[in-house]
Amino acid sequence: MSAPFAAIETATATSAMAALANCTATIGVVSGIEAVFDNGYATAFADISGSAPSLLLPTSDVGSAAAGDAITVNSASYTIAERQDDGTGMTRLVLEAV
Amino acid sequence: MTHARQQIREAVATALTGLTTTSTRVHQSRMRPVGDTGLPCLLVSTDTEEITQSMQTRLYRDLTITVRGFAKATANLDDTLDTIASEVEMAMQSAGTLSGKTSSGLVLRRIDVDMDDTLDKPAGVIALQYQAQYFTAAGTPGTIV
Repeated sequence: MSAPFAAIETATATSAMAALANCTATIGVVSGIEAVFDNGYATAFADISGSAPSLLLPTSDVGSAAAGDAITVNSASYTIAERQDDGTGMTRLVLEAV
Repeated sequence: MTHARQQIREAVATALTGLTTTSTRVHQSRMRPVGDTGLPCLLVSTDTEEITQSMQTRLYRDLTITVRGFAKATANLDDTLDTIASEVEMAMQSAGTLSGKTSSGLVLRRIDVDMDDTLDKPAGVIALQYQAQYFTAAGTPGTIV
Protein backbone atom coordinates (compact mmCIF):
# COMPACT_ATOMS: atom_id res chain seq x y z
CA MET A 1 0.00 0.00 0.00
CA SER A 2 1.40 3.42 -0.93
CA ALA A 3 1.82 6.19 1.61
CA PRO A 4 -1.58 7.77 2.36
CA PHE A 5 -0.82 11.17 0.92
CA ALA A 6 1.60 10.18 -1.84
CA ALA A 7 -0.94 10.59 -4.62
CA ILE A 8 -2.07 13.94 -3.24
CA GLU A 9 1.53 15.13 -2.99
CA THR A 10 2.24 14.14 -6.56
CA ALA A 11 -0.91 15.80 -7.84
CA THR A 12 -0.22 18.97 -5.87
CA ALA A 13 3.39 19.16 -7.04
CA THR A 14 2.40 18.60 -10.65
CA SER A 15 -0.37 21.22 -10.48
CA ALA A 16 1.92 23.77 -8.85
CA MET A 17 4.59 23.21 -11.47
CA ALA A 18 2.10 23.60 -14.30
CA ALA A 19 1.38 27.10 -12.98
CA LEU A 20 4.91 28.12 -11.96
CA ALA A 21 7.21 26.49 -14.52
CA ASN A 22 9.56 28.77 -16.43
CA CYS A 23 11.31 26.13 -18.50
CA THR A 24 11.16 22.65 -19.94
CA ALA A 25 13.78 20.03 -19.24
CA THR A 26 14.88 16.74 -20.70
CA ILE A 27 16.05 14.01 -18.35
CA GLY A 28 17.18 10.83 -20.03
CA VAL A 29 14.69 10.07 -22.78
CA VAL A 30 11.86 12.07 -21.19
CA SER A 31 11.48 15.56 -22.60
CA GLY A 32 9.06 18.42 -22.01
CA ILE A 33 9.30 18.20 -18.22
CA GLU A 34 8.02 21.44 -16.69
CA ALA A 35 10.21 22.91 -13.96
CA VAL A 36 11.39 26.10 -12.29
CA PHE A 37 14.91 27.00 -13.41
CA ASP A 38 16.89 29.24 -11.06
CA ASN A 39 20.20 30.56 -12.38
CA GLY A 40 20.87 33.62 -10.28
CA TYR A 41 24.10 35.50 -9.61
CA ALA A 42 26.43 33.94 -7.07
CA THR A 43 30.02 34.19 -5.91
CA ALA A 44 32.66 31.82 -4.62
CA PHE A 45 35.15 33.04 -1.99
CA ALA A 46 33.71 36.53 -2.72
CA ASP A 47 36.33 36.62 -5.51
CA ILE A 48 34.80 34.62 -8.36
CA SER A 49 31.42 35.52 -9.82
CA GLY A 50 29.04 33.41 -11.83
CA SER A 51 25.66 31.79 -11.53
CA ALA A 52 24.27 28.94 -9.46
CA PRO A 53 21.91 26.88 -11.67
CA SER A 54 19.32 24.60 -10.12
CA LEU A 55 16.05 23.07 -11.17
CA LEU A 56 12.92 22.57 -9.03
CA LEU A 57 10.44 20.00 -10.23
CA PRO A 58 8.07 17.25 -9.04
CA THR A 59 9.96 14.25 -7.69
CA SER A 60 7.76 12.04 -9.84
CA ASP A 61 9.30 13.64 -12.94
CA VAL A 62 12.88 13.00 -11.85
CA GLY A 63 12.66 9.22 -11.99
CA SER A 64 15.94 7.56 -11.08
CA ALA A 65 18.11 10.45 -12.28
CA ALA A 66 21.14 10.94 -10.06
CA ALA A 67 24.36 12.93 -9.75
CA GLY A 68 26.42 12.67 -12.90
CA ASP A 69 23.49 12.22 -15.26
CA ALA A 70 23.02 14.55 -18.20
CA ILE A 71 20.11 16.98 -18.29
CA THR A 72 19.00 19.62 -20.76
CA VAL A 73 17.26 22.82 -19.67
CA ASN A 74 15.94 25.16 -22.34
CA SER A 75 18.29 23.47 -24.83
CA ALA A 76 21.36 24.07 -22.63
CA SER A 77 23.30 21.04 -21.42
CA TYR A 78 24.12 20.42 -17.78
CA THR A 79 25.16 17.60 -15.48
CA ILE A 80 23.26 16.85 -12.29
CA ALA A 81 25.65 17.71 -9.46
CA GLU A 82 23.30 16.84 -6.61
CA ARG A 83 19.77 15.54 -6.18
CA GLN A 84 17.86 16.98 -3.22
CA ASP A 85 14.46 15.35 -2.61
CA ASP A 86 12.46 17.36 -0.07
CA GLY A 87 10.31 14.39 0.94
CA THR A 88 7.06 16.17 0.13
CA GLY A 89 6.91 15.53 -3.61
CA MET A 90 9.38 18.14 -4.86
CA THR A 91 13.04 17.79 -5.84
CA ARG A 92 15.78 20.33 -6.41
CA LEU A 93 18.51 19.33 -8.84
CA VAL A 94 21.74 21.27 -8.41
CA LEU A 95 23.25 21.63 -11.89
CA GLU A 96 26.75 21.93 -13.25
CA ALA A 97 27.50 23.50 -16.62
CA VAL A 98 29.03 21.19 -19.22
CA MET B 1 57.49 58.33 -3.41
CA THR B 2 55.32 55.24 -3.24
CA HIS B 3 55.47 53.11 -0.10
CA ALA B 4 57.89 50.19 -0.28
CA ARG B 5 54.93 47.84 0.18
CA GLN B 6 53.47 49.09 -3.10
CA GLN B 7 56.83 48.86 -4.84
CA ILE B 8 57.24 45.25 -3.72
CA ARG B 9 53.63 44.31 -4.60
CA GLU B 10 53.97 45.80 -8.07
CA ALA B 11 57.30 44.05 -8.61
CA VAL B 12 55.74 40.72 -7.63
CA ALA B 13 52.81 41.30 -9.98
CA THR B 14 55.23 42.08 -12.79
CA ALA B 15 57.22 38.93 -12.08
CA LEU B 16 54.03 36.86 -12.23
CA THR B 17 52.64 38.36 -15.41
CA GLY B 18 52.78 36.10 -18.46
CA LEU B 19 52.75 32.70 -16.77
CA THR B 20 51.35 29.88 -18.92
CA THR B 21 48.11 29.31 -17.02
CA THR B 22 47.23 32.78 -15.79
CA SER B 23 48.79 34.89 -18.56
CA THR B 24 48.22 38.62 -18.02
CA ARG B 25 45.31 38.09 -15.61
CA VAL B 26 47.25 39.32 -12.59
CA HIS B 27 45.50 41.68 -10.18
CA GLN B 28 46.67 43.61 -7.16
CA SER B 29 44.33 43.85 -4.18
CA ARG B 30 41.26 43.46 -6.40
CA MET B 31 37.95 44.08 -4.62
CA ARG B 32 35.39 43.00 -7.22
CA PRO B 33 34.74 39.35 -8.14
CA VAL B 34 36.20 37.99 -11.38
CA GLY B 35 33.91 36.39 -13.98
CA ASP B 36 34.52 33.43 -16.26
CA THR B 37 36.36 35.45 -18.89
CA GLY B 38 38.89 36.60 -16.29
CA LEU B 39 39.87 33.11 -15.13
CA PRO B 40 42.20 31.54 -14.25
CA CYS B 41 43.85 34.49 -12.58
CA LEU B 42 46.22 35.62 -9.83
CA LEU B 43 45.58 38.09 -7.04
CA VAL B 44 48.60 39.63 -5.31
CA SER B 45 48.22 41.32 -1.96
CA THR B 46 50.63 42.71 0.60
CA ASP B 47 49.29 41.79 4.01
CA THR B 48 50.60 41.78 7.56
CA GLU B 49 53.91 43.52 8.18
CA GLU B 50 55.91 43.38 11.38
CA ILE B 51 58.31 46.21 11.95
CA THR B 52 61.18 46.58 14.38
CA GLN B 53 63.60 49.46 14.67
CA SER B 54 67.07 48.00 14.19
CA MET B 55 68.82 51.35 14.42
CA GLN B 56 67.65 54.86 15.12
CA THR B 57 67.49 55.64 11.44
CA ARG B 58 66.52 52.27 10.02
CA LEU B 59 63.39 50.06 10.25
CA TYR B 60 63.51 46.32 9.75
CA ARG B 61 60.33 45.11 8.05
CA ASP B 62 58.97 41.59 7.72
CA LEU B 63 56.24 41.60 5.08
CA THR B 64 53.73 38.86 4.24
CA ILE B 65 52.83 38.69 0.54
CA THR B 66 49.97 36.46 -0.55
CA VAL B 67 49.54 35.23 -4.11
CA ARG B 68 46.17 33.60 -4.69
CA GLY B 69 45.39 31.65 -7.84
CA PHE B 70 41.73 31.22 -8.85
CA ALA B 71 40.24 28.77 -11.35
CA LYS B 72 36.97 27.12 -12.37
CA ALA B 73 36.83 23.71 -14.00
CA THR B 74 34.48 20.77 -14.39
CA ALA B 75 37.36 18.31 -14.04
CA ASN B 76 40.85 18.20 -12.56
CA LEU B 77 40.45 21.47 -10.67
CA ASP B 78 43.09 20.37 -8.17
CA ASP B 79 45.54 19.77 -11.02
CA THR B 80 44.90 23.25 -12.39
CA LEU B 81 45.48 24.82 -8.98
CA ASP B 82 48.69 22.86 -8.46
CA THR B 83 49.90 23.89 -11.91
CA ILE B 84 49.27 27.52 -11.01
CA ALA B 85 51.24 27.04 -7.79
CA SER B 86 54.10 25.43 -9.67
CA GLU B 87 54.32 28.33 -12.13
CA VAL B 88 54.11 30.91 -9.34
CA GLU B 89 56.82 29.22 -7.27
CA MET B 90 59.22 29.10 -10.21
CA ALA B 91 58.57 32.73 -11.12
CA MET B 92 58.96 33.92 -7.54
CA GLN B 93 62.25 32.04 -7.23
CA SER B 94 63.48 33.61 -10.45
CA ALA B 95 62.46 37.04 -9.19
CA GLY B 96 65.21 36.83 -6.57
CA THR B 97 65.32 39.97 -4.43
CA LEU B 98 63.02 41.90 -6.78
CA SER B 99 65.96 43.97 -8.01
CA GLY B 100 67.15 44.66 -4.51
CA LYS B 101 63.79 45.61 -3.04
CA THR B 102 64.03 42.77 -0.51
CA SER B 103 67.14 41.88 1.45
CA SER B 104 67.04 38.13 1.02
CA GLY B 105 64.48 37.22 -1.62
CA LEU B 106 61.00 35.83 -1.21
CA VAL B 107 60.54 32.86 1.08
CA LEU B 108 57.53 30.57 0.63
CA ARG B 109 55.96 29.92 4.04
CA ARG B 110 52.61 28.28 3.45
CA ILE B 111 50.14 27.00 0.83
CA ASP B 112 46.38 26.70 1.39
CA VAL B 113 43.77 25.27 -0.96
CA ASP B 114 40.01 25.71 -0.91
CA MET B 115 37.24 24.63 -3.25
CA ASP B 116 33.63 25.70 -3.62
CA ASP B 117 30.72 24.08 -5.47
CA THR B 118 28.34 27.04 -5.30
CA LEU B 119 28.73 28.09 -8.94
CA ASP B 120 27.87 26.49 -12.27
CA LYS B 121 31.31 24.88 -12.23
CA PRO B 122 33.49 24.00 -9.25
CA ALA B 123 35.75 26.90 -8.26
CA GLY B 124 39.04 26.72 -6.43
CA VAL B 125 41.70 28.91 -4.92
CA ILE B 126 45.29 28.17 -4.01
CA ALA B 127 46.99 30.70 -1.76
CA LEU B 128 50.79 30.92 -1.56
CA GLN B 129 52.05 32.93 1.37
CA TYR B 130 55.51 34.47 1.05
CA GLN B 131 57.67 36.39 3.46
CA ALA B 132 59.99 39.20 2.46
CA GLN B 133 62.42 41.19 4.60
CA TYR B 134 63.53 44.68 3.80
CA PHE B 135 64.77 47.86 5.44
CA THR B 136 63.58 51.40 5.09
CA ALA B 137 64.90 54.61 6.48
CA ALA B 138 62.85 55.72 9.46
CA GLY B 139 60.23 58.25 8.40
CA THR B 140 60.66 57.57 4.69
CA PRO B 141 58.78 54.33 4.00
CA GLY B 142 59.34 54.60 0.28
CA THR B 143 63.10 54.49 0.57
CA ILE B 144 64.40 50.93 0.67
CA VAL B 145 67.90 50.76 2.13
